[in-house]
Formats: sequence, structure tokens, C-alpha cells
Amino acid sequence: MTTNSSDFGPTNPPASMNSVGPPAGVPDSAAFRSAGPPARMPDPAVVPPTGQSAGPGAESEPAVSLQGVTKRYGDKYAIRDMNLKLPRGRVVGVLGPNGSGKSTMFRMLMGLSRPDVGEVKVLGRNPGWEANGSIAYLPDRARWYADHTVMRAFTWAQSLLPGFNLDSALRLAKFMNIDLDMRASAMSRGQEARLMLILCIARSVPLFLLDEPFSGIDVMSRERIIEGLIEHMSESERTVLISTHEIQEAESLFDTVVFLQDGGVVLAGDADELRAEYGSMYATMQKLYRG
Amino acid sequence: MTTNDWQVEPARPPGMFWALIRHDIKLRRRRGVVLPRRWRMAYAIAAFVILMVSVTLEGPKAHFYLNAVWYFTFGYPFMTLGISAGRIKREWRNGTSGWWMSLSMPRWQLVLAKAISSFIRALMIYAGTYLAVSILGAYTLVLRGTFNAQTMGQFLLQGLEWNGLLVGAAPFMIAFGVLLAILSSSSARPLAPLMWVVIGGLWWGIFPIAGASNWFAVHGSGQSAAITITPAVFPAIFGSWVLASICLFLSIYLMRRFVDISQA
Repeated sequence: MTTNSSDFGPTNPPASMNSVGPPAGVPDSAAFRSAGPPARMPDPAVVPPTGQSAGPGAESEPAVSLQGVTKRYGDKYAIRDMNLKLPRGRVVGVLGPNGSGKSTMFRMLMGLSRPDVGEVKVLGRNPGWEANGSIAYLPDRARWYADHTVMRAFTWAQSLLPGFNLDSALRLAKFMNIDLDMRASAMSRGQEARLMLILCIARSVPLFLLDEPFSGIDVMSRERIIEGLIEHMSESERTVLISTHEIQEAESLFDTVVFLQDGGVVLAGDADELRAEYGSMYATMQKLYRG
Repeated sequence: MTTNDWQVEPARPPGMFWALIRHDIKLRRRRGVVLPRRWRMAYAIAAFVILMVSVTLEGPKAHFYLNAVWYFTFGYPFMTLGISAGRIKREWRNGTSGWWMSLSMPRWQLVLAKAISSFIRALMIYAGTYLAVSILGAYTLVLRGTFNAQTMGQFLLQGLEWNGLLVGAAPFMIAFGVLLAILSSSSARPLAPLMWVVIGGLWWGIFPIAGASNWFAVHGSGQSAAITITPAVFPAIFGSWVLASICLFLSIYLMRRFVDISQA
């Protein structure tokens, strides 16, 4: 189900929501076509833990919670009064165009960026190095240490990343067709992206934050990465947040989606229901952002 | 992982701090500007040949003071500053800062690992230089026909004293390099030029202080002349370690409060 104000938001949605079209908080396709820029979600945008159960404590303690969070760089808002709660045990697509706040949100969850205003909680804790032990994070536009071979990267991860499983990494390297003796400096961007993804998903942790894992990757590598994600993530129940603005290939991964724009949540809900309503995530995105 | 495993925190690998130091010891150049290994070897061999030819031709001439050879490492303290600053700046330049800063380790450990690894790297460079100069010195003395245990011993001792002084000064230069790099990666980066003024002032201010405080003494003359360090230098070295600690505390504070990875 898509989130709306009557379920999870305030009793009286902001006036800006009313201008989008009925029902409040749920932009329909006609509203997208006629209303110009999408309105922000009423506060807070809470994605309910629909589908498979995420455990008894899941509803009371979300995997990720942002309340009234604002972050500015100079005069520019990266995040603007964001309210979002994401349940545990789901694969969440965090979608939106460049500059919509996806990476800033992920960095805040990792304690790499501090909010000017508001409260951020991840796995029920304040972001920071202690919480980071339970999170596998793939940074945006990251590179790997050029002098490392794949095997050296794995031993690095084994000694520095809690929950890293070497056997899983080796299996994934085989699956993703990565030569263990190859140096990162000799890799294509696609191969390097696959290596970095393996370093993340070969960890046994409750939360995964993958920031633009498909950015700048060729189609073949992208397919490999997605296959790897499906293969590995389906084995266990984990909370996975994947940010991307290239959703056509990736949308099959998501069972929850959050659409961001201008640092705020414009739509959030169950992926199947959005697909049923709009045809596909890509179509939803087109309607949201192109008007 | 089952649905009840939410609260389970994965075990931290043992010895993470030392593993990070070992990782940081490796000298990493800026991506894309690494000279291929065979070219590096070619340059090293060429430099060695030129050095040996120069020593062979010039060494027997008695008009230069052999012990003074040690002082060519006069600029090494600035090299150590570059080593530590480079270790941090390269995390950003090489696109690995996100991995580094998101490690499940407190900021003080991240900073201290950079400082310790830089110190170990500096020690390796000083030791390598000491060994190379010792061998070249012995070769020169043989060429001059003045090789004996006393001359060689004095030459080695002179080098040990000089390098000991450099090693003593290294913690401050390393900590200052760490501070500069973190400052320039933080939202407080407008203060970075001020720090360069401070280090410049310290550098030029140290000579009159050294002279007035009699840090050095000259013994003997001619070929047996030697400059030795006096005990007066030790308080200064201790003072530099106190400054080094302050620099590291400031660096950790900046990392916690003013380094935002989006802005660096």
C-alpha cells in the first residue's frame, strides 16, 4: 500500500499536499500530469512493514528513522525537513534525481554528515562508529585502493569489517566473474564496482546501504551486480537500502520504494502496489519527476 | 540471519587498530600518477650509478668534510609532514574516504593510525638512509685510504646523533601534517593558510633558538671535526612532543565536529 496521511501522517495534511490532488498524500497519475513539481509527503512518511513479517520489534523500532531532518550546504538545502521511517527486513529503493538528497541521507545514517536540525536513528541508535559495525555501506562514487588485489581487499575486509565472511566473498567473486589476483588499478569501473559490492554484501549485518551501486557501470556489469544482489540478498532477511536514479534494471529488487526530490520525500510505499497502480517504478518515477 | 537477529551485532575482528596501521603504512600514490614498476627500477638504478660514479670521482678528494654528508637530510622533517598529510589527503583524492571514515572505529583511532603508520614509515626511510649513507661513507673512506675503526665509528655516531634528532622531531611534524590535512578537509579549512604561517614561523624561529640555547657543540677540527647534540636539545624535543599531542587532539576534534564527507 502506498503511504498516505490518513494512515501514518498528521490529521490535517499541509496545504501543499492538498494542491496535488486527492486523496491527500497519494499523488495519482492525473495529479502528476497536472500539478507540476511533486508535493512533499506529509510528516512523517512512514513505510509500513507490509508483506513478510520483520519480527515482533520491527514495527516499534524502524531500521531507519529521520525526524525533522534538515541539512544545508551554504544556501543550498541537501535535506529539507525530512521525516521518514523505514521498517526492517525490506529491500528499499531510495529513488530520485541527482541532488535529491539520497547520498546525503545515506551519509547521515553512517555518521559521515551531521544534520543541522532533526534526529537521525539507525537500527535504533545514533549514527556513528559504533552503529557502523552493523551496517554494510557502499559509498557514493567510491573507488577501491589501487594497490589491492581482490584477495588483498578481502583480507582487508576480514580484518576491518565486522561480519565479513570470506567464504561468501569468494563465492560471490566467482559468481561475479572477478579474478582474485587482479589489482584494482587494472580493473574496469564495472569490475571495481563489483569488487566493492562484494565487500559489502559478503557481510553478515542487519543493514545494507548501497549508494548508487550501478552508477557509471556498463549494462553487463550492472546485470551481474543485480544478479549478485538477488542471489545473495534472497538468502537471508536483511534491510537493504539501495539508492539509484537508474531504476529500470533494478526495480525488480525493491519491495519498498521512497521517492525523493529537493531533499524531501515525495512518495513512499510498497513497490508491488505502486507497480499495480502505475505499471512500473520507472513509470512512477517518470510521472513524479516529469509531471 | 533470522528475523530475531536484529539486535545481534556482528563481532568486531580482533586487532582492528593494528590492522588499520598495517594498511596505512603502505605508501599510496595518487591514482593515475603511479610510475610503472620497471620505470621506477630504471630511475633507481640510474640514481645509484650516478651516485657511485660521483663518490668514486669526488670521494678521494680530501677537501670536503665527510661528516657533513649527514646533514643532507635537513629537509626530512618536511618530508615526514608530507607523509602524514598525504596519507589523509589521498583518502579523498583516491576516492576511498567513504570507506575509511565509515569504519567501525572511533575517530581517534582513525587519526592515531595515520600518525603511527606515518611515524613507522618515516623510521623506515631514516633507517634506509642511514644504512645507505653509512655504506657510501665507508666506501669514501676506503677510497681516501683513511678507513679505520675510529674514523668510521665517529662517522656512524655522528649519523646516529643527527638521525636521532630528526626522529625526535618527527612526531611533531607528523602530527602537524595530520592536523593540516584534516583541517583542509573540514569546514574550518579557511584556517589552513594560518597553520602554514605557524609552521613557517616555527621553522625560521628555531635557528636563533637553537643558537641561543646551545643545542649543538663543535668538537675537533678538520677531518675529525664533529658536531654533537647537547643535552639542551632534549627539553625542546619534549616540548615538540607536547605540541604533537595538542595537534593530534585538535585533529580528532576537527574530525568529530567539522569534517563532513560531503564537503571535504
